[in-house]
Amino acid sequence: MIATQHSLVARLKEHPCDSDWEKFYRLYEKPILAVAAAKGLSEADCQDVLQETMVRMCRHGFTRYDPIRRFTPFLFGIAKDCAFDALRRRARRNSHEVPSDASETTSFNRQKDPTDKAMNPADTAEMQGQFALVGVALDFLLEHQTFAPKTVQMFKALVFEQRNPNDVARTFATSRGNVDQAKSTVLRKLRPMYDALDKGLDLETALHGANP
Amino acid sequence: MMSQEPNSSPSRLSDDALAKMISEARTTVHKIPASSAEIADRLSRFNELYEALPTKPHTAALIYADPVTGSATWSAIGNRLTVGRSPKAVANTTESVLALHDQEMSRQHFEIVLTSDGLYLLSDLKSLNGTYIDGVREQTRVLIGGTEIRAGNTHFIFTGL
Repeated sequence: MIATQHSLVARLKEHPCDSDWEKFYRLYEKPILAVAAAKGLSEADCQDVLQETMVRMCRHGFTRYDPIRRFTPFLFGIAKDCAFDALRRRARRNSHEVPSDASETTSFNRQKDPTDKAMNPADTAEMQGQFALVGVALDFLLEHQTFAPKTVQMFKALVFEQRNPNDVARTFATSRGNVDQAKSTVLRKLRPMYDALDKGLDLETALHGANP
Repeated sequence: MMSQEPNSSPSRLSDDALAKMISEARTTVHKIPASSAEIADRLSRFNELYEALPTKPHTAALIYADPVTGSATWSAIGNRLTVGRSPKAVANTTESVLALHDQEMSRQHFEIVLTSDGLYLLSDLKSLNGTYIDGVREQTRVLIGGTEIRAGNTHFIFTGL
């Protein structure tokens, strides 16, 4: 069971306040935008998706979320629904359709068309959202966790630049073991950050947990 | 395979998989559009008004501070909602009117219609002072959750579905 005080999402469900909202927005805006961008939407449409996803979370998202499940697939599911709506708005703009009354509608169906190829593969948007989420976790970690400068430099050379570990060891005049250790040290601290974001928990709490 | 790994719980990812995700994240970041301060401000205003509502709407609605009492309230949109100082009532029970004591509003100021493709379309009804959507005077606009509307001295926010 997740302690409420450690769960950003649980607090927003029970006692929403401005500071938690700002925190939530700051942490999840990029992943939501990444989900929208993966759907091929324009920058303006991606921003609409961000706004609408946040509004839906406020209205009923936190209430409907089941805390025993992962949070981000739930959040990204809402973002994908909003992206679908943005695609429909774009289709409307492109078609120059004359507005019609709902009273004229006989077969309106809000359900997604499962054959709509614009929404497939469904996992692509989820993956882009997860990549962005890892990026948020890493930015937070590097901002708040004090690593030795050399550790961060070797980590970036290995992971950001995808350089060969032996090459990195030569560059930094150290052993291959130290290079592997640098990578392992950062990843060991990163994992609880990413895990916390994925579950809607506080990153600060996760950071302190990673530094017993 | 890499494509399956992001769907796994982070705690189950191997170091190599996590490192690959970081590498992908750096590519993804360049493709992510910028957010905007306007969105954050708009959401802040939405949250403030929404939390002040004594009861919450379960369908698409306009939320606003009543121009007379100042209290937060809402009006469901249904298939059509006409807003103004004294909008004409219609016989069709699926269509609603919202009459407000705002002297800067026209009798029939704007309407929101649920279109056949499930979108909410706002149209200004040739109002004297105009309808402002997210700060811009517009004749018509498809609304999304959080869109701000100003008619006369009254500010509304569309809740979305």
